[in-house]
Amino acid sequence: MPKQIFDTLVIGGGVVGCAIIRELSKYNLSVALVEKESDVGEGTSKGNSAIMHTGFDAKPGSLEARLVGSGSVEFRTQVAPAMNLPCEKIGALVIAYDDDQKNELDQVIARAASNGVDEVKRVTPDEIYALEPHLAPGVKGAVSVANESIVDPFAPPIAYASQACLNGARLMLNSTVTGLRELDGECHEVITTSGSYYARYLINAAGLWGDSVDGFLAIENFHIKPRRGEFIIFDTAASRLVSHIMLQVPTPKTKGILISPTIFGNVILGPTADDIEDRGSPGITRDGMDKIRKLGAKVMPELLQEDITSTYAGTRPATEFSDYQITFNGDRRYVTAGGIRSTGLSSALAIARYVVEGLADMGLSLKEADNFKDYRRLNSLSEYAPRPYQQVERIKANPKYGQMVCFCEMVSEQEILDAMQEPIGAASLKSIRKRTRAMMGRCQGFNCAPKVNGMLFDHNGVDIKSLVA
Amino acid sequence: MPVSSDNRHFDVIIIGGGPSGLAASVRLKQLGVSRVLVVERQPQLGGIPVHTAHFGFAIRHLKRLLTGPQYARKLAKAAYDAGVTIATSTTVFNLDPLAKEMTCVSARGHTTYRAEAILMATGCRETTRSALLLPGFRGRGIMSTSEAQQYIHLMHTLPGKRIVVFGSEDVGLSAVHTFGLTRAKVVGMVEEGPRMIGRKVFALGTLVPHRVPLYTRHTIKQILGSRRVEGVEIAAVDGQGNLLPGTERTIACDTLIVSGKFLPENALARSADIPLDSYTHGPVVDQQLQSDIPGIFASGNLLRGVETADVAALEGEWAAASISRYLKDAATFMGPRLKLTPEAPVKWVLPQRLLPGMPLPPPYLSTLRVSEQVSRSRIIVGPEGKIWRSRKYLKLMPERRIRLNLHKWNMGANEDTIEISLAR
Repeated sequence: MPKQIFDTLVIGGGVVGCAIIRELSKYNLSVALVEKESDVGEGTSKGNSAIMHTGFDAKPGSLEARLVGSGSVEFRTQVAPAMNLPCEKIGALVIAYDDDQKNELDQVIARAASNGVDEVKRVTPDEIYALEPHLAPGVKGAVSVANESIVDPFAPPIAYASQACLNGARLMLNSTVTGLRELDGECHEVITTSGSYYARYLINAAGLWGDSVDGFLAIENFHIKPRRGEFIIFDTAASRLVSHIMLQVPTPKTKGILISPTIFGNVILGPTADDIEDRGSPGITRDGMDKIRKLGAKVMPELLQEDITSTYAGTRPATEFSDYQITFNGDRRYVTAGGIRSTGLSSALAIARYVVEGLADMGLSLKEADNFKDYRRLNSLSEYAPRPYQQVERIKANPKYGQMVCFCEMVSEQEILDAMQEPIGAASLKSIRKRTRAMMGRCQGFNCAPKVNGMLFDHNGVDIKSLVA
Repeated sequence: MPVSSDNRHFDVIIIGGGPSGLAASVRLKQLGVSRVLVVERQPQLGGIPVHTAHFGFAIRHLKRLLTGPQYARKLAKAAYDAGVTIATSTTVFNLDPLAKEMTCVSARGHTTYRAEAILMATGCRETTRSALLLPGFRGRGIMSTSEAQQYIHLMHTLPGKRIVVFGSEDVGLSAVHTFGLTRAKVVGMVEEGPRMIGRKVFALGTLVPHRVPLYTRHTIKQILGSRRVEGVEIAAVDGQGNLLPGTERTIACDTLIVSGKFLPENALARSADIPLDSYTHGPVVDQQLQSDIPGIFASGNLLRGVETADVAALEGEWAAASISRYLKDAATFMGPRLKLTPEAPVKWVLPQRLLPGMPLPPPYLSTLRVSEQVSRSRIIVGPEGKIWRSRKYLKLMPERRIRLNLHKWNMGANEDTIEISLAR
């Protein structure tokens, strides 16, 4: 018999899986999560548009509409302030560029109302140009959605998993699930590349690999049809051009293009939406870049003159269904949270509650833990609040907050040390980047990547060759 | 935001402790300017040469041949010996060019400095893979020349074993040279243009002995890899940069060096609203190296992307001479300035302004670049309809310094815009 049987085990450390273990760790349960990458919040969770959606445009009555609505409110009003997760309510403009789109605007407002999203109103072209003077001429009208917010997309999964770990959850990184077995009707064996783990209840939050994990139990809920979205990030100098999240009214022909400030002070342009075969690490494509630059140039020609800081692509786990696919298999004590396409960041907290309620219905006994510990991130990466280098008191208390390592993004030595010493410590350049912004700026590591690698080497005592070569 | 009250006042503050800033600081002291401060954000003075550990430095400046680190040490020592005040590990994050005041952050907290004149010498950097929109894999094994040289020379770590270099400027040859001193093998150099951009004499010491295949008129169609780079798919391009189908081939490698296409490190100048030139991306300067804002000067590779370190140092010395005159008589630095504008295929021209009646700069300072190779043509200088100077060239190469010889210009008065163009 296995030595340790977890009450619950989550497969997949994306934002959804991390929110689920956080929710589970509120109860007197033994909780574990397995993740194939070396960090949480990889895969789909790190390649999104960094927006906390209100769900104003979701299909009314769908599970997605319900969970995005309640999840984003909880994030914005409670969790983000409590955990020091950057979130700025800058509002969105859903813009009509032609008469077809203009005719849809009333529909947009009606849909938002039926989704329970408030502070949604019509905006005239004059008002739009007052708000966004750099838009190309020809705007016919818009709807503004005041509660749409921008966030640090990397922080939520890290914070959720960190809080769960503080409250006793176990995190197994670098553990790819290679098989599942049901043992004597009492527990599941989760076979991974780092060994086998055992749990009474299993939650599949494997994102792009959700159908493969289902397949290990011969369950067929859906098929993943990966969809790639490519983005361009412009230099901070471009931020003078954009102050709202700008979307286009979706029509049957096109979903349009997004232009938005980022919480790091850049401007984002994207995404494309292409169905692809390969679920693996996605890259940008020539065609994708051409397409978004062309679409972007129509909306805001000035933006395309700005310097490009970075590009990236994310892959969304779309399925043959339009709604989330969250299924509860009571007989087998198995839950699948799949098909969470591009709104997982916004809905994760609500998905977690929904899944845990379902687990209770399946017979998992939930008893609230006595002292659920709070977790608060030490450093916020938001450009909308004072950064550590701007806080004289912090530098006085610890001079390393004044010692810059990354000059483009103004990241201090202490912030990088903090990232390595967090509950889920960064052990690679990409993990440092997600936690600190180091190497994310216009020089992309020209100045600081070797220095950061040296710090990782000093801190972890690993051979520097394993980091670089 | 609270700022500590440690106000300090200097005659001249130099932002950037690379070759240009250091050479300027030494010359200022020699010219009798007493309070000179150099602010450098790195812990070590010297700039890019610090980690460019091969020969080829200092020839025009010190009349001897040094390695990058030797040159960096000499420049730093000269500044210390001259009595320049030096603040390393200090990053300027706020610059008010009108008040000539700036705020820095360091382990000591925030410090605000004020000066009579400021010299910006913040250098340049290589264009990144992201900015070039190179498609494909993202992750380990893609870096600039500078990063690779830091790993090899400062950290004694080889970042890869099979290397492909994208870009054939001198810096790309420098990357080949750097890897040639190690166990790594450079398996290809990819250049979008019709021929190698770097100097042939450098290729003799790099591409030739290491037998590196050079793929001209090729670009990187896609970077391949999963956990790290596994190869690059290259393809031929036509003159407009369009891929030619059917010409794809894959080169297996574990590291891609994205080299060259230097850009001025202009973020601070930009944030301070110092006018930038749309051709060079550096501040607009006149022949005194004064920007469009009185008392704010610029020199070195901030002006235009890349020049050799010794030329950057000589420019620093020229800027120092200007600044010392400015400190004595700022009024002579005012007045209407002639505007020089390039016409394609002239890529940029430097300086972009001429202040009549002021000394003309040394020849290495007034230069232009062309964006493509041009044969048997004339450089023509003058206001519309007039010719102030016309000189015939057999061949003009991209990324090479082409002198403007301002002292030979037959300048007229009462003009404001002068075009610099090419004609057969």
